[in-house]
Amino acid sequence: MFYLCMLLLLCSCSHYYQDAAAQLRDGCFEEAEKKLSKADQHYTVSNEAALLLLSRAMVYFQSGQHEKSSKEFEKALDAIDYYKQNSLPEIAGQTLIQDSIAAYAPPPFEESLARFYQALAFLHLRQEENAAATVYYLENHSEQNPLTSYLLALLFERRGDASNAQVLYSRLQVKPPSGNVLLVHHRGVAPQKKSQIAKTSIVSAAILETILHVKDVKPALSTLAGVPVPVLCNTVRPTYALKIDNHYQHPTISYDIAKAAEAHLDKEMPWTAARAAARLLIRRGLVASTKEDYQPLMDIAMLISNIATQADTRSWTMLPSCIDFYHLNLNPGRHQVQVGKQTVTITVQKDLNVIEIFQPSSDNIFTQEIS
Amino acid sequence: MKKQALLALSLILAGCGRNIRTAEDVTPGNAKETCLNWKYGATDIRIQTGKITKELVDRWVARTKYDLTNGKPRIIITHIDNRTDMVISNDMIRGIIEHVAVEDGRVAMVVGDTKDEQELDTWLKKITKDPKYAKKSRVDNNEAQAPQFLAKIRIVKAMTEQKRYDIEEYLMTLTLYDLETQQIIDSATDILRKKVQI
Repeated sequence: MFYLCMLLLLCSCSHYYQDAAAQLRDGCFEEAEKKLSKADQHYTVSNEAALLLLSRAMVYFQSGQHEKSSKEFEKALDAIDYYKQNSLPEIAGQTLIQDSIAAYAPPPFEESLARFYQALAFLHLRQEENAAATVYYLENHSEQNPLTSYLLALLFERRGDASNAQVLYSRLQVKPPSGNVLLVHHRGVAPQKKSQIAKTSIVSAAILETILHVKDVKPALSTLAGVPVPVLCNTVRPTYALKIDNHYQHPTISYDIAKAAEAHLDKEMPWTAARAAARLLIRRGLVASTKEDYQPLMDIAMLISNIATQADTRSWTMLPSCIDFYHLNLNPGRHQVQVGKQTVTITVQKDLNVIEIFQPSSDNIFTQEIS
Repeated sequence: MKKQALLALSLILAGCGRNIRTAEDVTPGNAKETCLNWKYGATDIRIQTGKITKELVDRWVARTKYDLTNGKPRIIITHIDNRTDMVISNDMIRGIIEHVAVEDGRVAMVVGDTKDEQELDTWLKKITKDPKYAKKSRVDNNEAQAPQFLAKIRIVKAMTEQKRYDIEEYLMTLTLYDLETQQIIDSATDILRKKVQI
């Protein structure tokens, strides 16, 4: 009974960070920030601390509060470092109850994006050395992405470290660029995860029950509920066509977050499926080990449990689907940037300019420019 | 028996939780088993700045035979060059350096945070109008004014990966420059060796 209550409680937890993501896309920054007030707690207290902190850091970033954003990303990175450690009780809980019982440990591609966004926040604050430090960390410790490597190369170059910059540019297979404007186009919304029953698991369960029946074990209905696995739902991504002063521009470098999420899910799938299968077998074992008279009751209880069990669908929902990075050489002054059907005006200064264009959907666009 | 086994298992599992990552100071000569944050931060900067300041001031006083009762020499740090992969807050480093100077008592330190020549020029302009301090870093005999220096701090990192931990070395260098000629007067270096859990 306790087991069932716990399961129902878990399933009834609302995903406040998803609501906050929806509010962020609508430009309601204050409301989104309020939704994430749980991030005030120390990161060791909440299992979803990394997700909360990443989300709130993104709210601050998109609303132009870069000082707060860089500090929040720093906390989020500490939380990621903490929750990266495996915890045996949690693995046991995931096997017995469901995957989302464990703390959220962001995948490496999300960590590298957190560092990319933190570096951008530092650039807005004119702290180039801290921007370089945060992306440099990935070179030694974690998974880099083309954006972090490019940004690091650029920052190396700016502090006169041309040889290291050259190494990174050649790794990315791009020519050493020159320009005074970094335009970051955040396009679309990262694919959301949803829980789906794997059809093959139902077939496998049916075969298992047939074999058990041959061996004189009473068949159980609960097994046929199958096992839930996470799947990605892709969203429509706005076109990348970007014109500056009526001239089409091609991104210097692009990073497809949707593809990275898909690759990570594929990599994790064998473990997710193995845990789900183990969970199903343990529950089937419980039915089989119950006294024969009570077996139908236990079977119904396990059926409810299996139906209520969901796959882990948590992810950093505030990310865009793709990031295009433009390194441009523009004369100081005002310029027109046309994204799809909409036009925004940017002001370029003499020194390095960082300009952000957020485009969650084709008809929703907002910018941020600090120079 | 079964209950006892379950209790033992739950205790073992409870002990397998997570810990906040820490590091140990393994620098030869430093206090043993000092528990540090795994990231390079305030404590590390305080340890290194304290050692470097002492070394530089000791050396300078011994060489120049300067009488500290004439006034504290002033060091103007124009640039903190962070070449590590750790984010260092400028405000934090400024506070620590100034505090270390106060603790030492023989020197005053001021931290600027830009690196371009424009700032150096601004400082020089300011300094020439400042009656309290000398216009140069060298002290002439019988001159009752305190000298001042321009300085730069550079922090670099080296890492050796091991199976269960990393050995990370942070090398901090403080270089003093002559205010007039901007030639190097002296330099001190400190290495902090940290054993960081993976």
